[in-house]
Amino acid sequence: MSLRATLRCWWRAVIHGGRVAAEAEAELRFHEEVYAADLVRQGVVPGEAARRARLEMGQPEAHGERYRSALGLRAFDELGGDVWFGLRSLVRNPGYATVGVLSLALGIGATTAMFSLMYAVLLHPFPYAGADRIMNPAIINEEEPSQLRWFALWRPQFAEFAKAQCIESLLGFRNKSEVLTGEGLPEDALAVYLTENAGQFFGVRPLLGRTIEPSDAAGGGQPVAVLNYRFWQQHFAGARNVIGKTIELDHVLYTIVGVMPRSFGFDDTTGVGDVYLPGALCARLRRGRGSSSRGSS
Amino acid sequence: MPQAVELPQGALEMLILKAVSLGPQHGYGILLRIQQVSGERLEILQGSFYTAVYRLERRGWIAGQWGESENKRKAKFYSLTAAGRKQLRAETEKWTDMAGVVAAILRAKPEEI
Repeated sequence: MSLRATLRCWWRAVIHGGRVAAEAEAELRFHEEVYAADLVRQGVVPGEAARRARLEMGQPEAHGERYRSALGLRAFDELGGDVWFGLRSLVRNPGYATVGVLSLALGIGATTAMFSLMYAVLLHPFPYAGADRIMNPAIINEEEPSQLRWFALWRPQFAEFAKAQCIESLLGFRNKSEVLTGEGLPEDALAVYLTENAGQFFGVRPLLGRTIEPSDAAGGGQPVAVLNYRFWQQHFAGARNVIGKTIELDHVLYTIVGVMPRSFGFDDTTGVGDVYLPGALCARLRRGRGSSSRGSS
Repeated sequence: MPQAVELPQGALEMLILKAVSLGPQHGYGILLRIQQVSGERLEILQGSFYTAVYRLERRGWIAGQWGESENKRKAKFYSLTAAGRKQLRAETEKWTDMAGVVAAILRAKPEEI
């Protein structure tokens, strides 16, 4: 049996449904007529011959159905009939239909909300790509293993640490409270200095513009800033043309190059941060405490 | 008139293939052909006849084409396709084989077993 022939038959029956049905009926009529003529030739009265032929051939509707069932289209027809019947019932009982649609909508909505929450909290709690490979190294005292001690590194130490073979990429960061100036009243803003591999480390696509990039380290650090979503909403009312504008921190101007998506925060333990700045700029901070580090193995 | 013969499952399709293989013919013509050759001993219901014809068409073993009948009427003529010819050969072989086996069994005498 050739699949192509079957598909061609179905295609014809579905696309040229009317013509195909008309053809099946014409074929039936022809058969009926020739049969009646034959009966007349055998001596049957014409009226009686026509009646007998019609009786034997049956209704055109029955013939059409036979045709469709031989083509294997019965399943389509029944499905179509069921759908049509369902629609008609809905139109006839609008109250019932409304209740049904509403309960479906509420049910789907509730399930979606619940799953979104579970996904964010339980299944995918960290908004970074490859979150399962990100480690936060800490020093552990074996006598008190529950007490973790985070440690800071000097730049040379950081560079040495990054060379460890089990580390693919090492992210250094430093949080610093800055004062947002140049906008009427000064305001607190938490700046997070990130080593310039941050964009590739997190693997999070910025909502607007770009993330901190290795080229931002040039010349002792470029004065560029990437905004946290909430900070962007509060201070720029979510304006999408914010890229290229400047922001003033402690009377230093930074060019805004990107905005992170709402889900991004770095990091939850030390504060999600308001602005992200290139880590190279850290060097000009007076009391350089060095940077904390996060490794990705 | 001899007794009417009832067709086993699937035999009608084979007969239609055979009738069409003798030359393109419309539905009524195919039916007549089969009845004539069988000596009017086959009783074929119109319903099952057309169902079989359409099934054969769907399988691509026969192809229908609209033409003009002897009495200048538009009619759908069926002809055998290449796939249909192959199928007819296979079916004929299978049928003769089976008929031979069944006949041999029915002819068997006690001393042969």
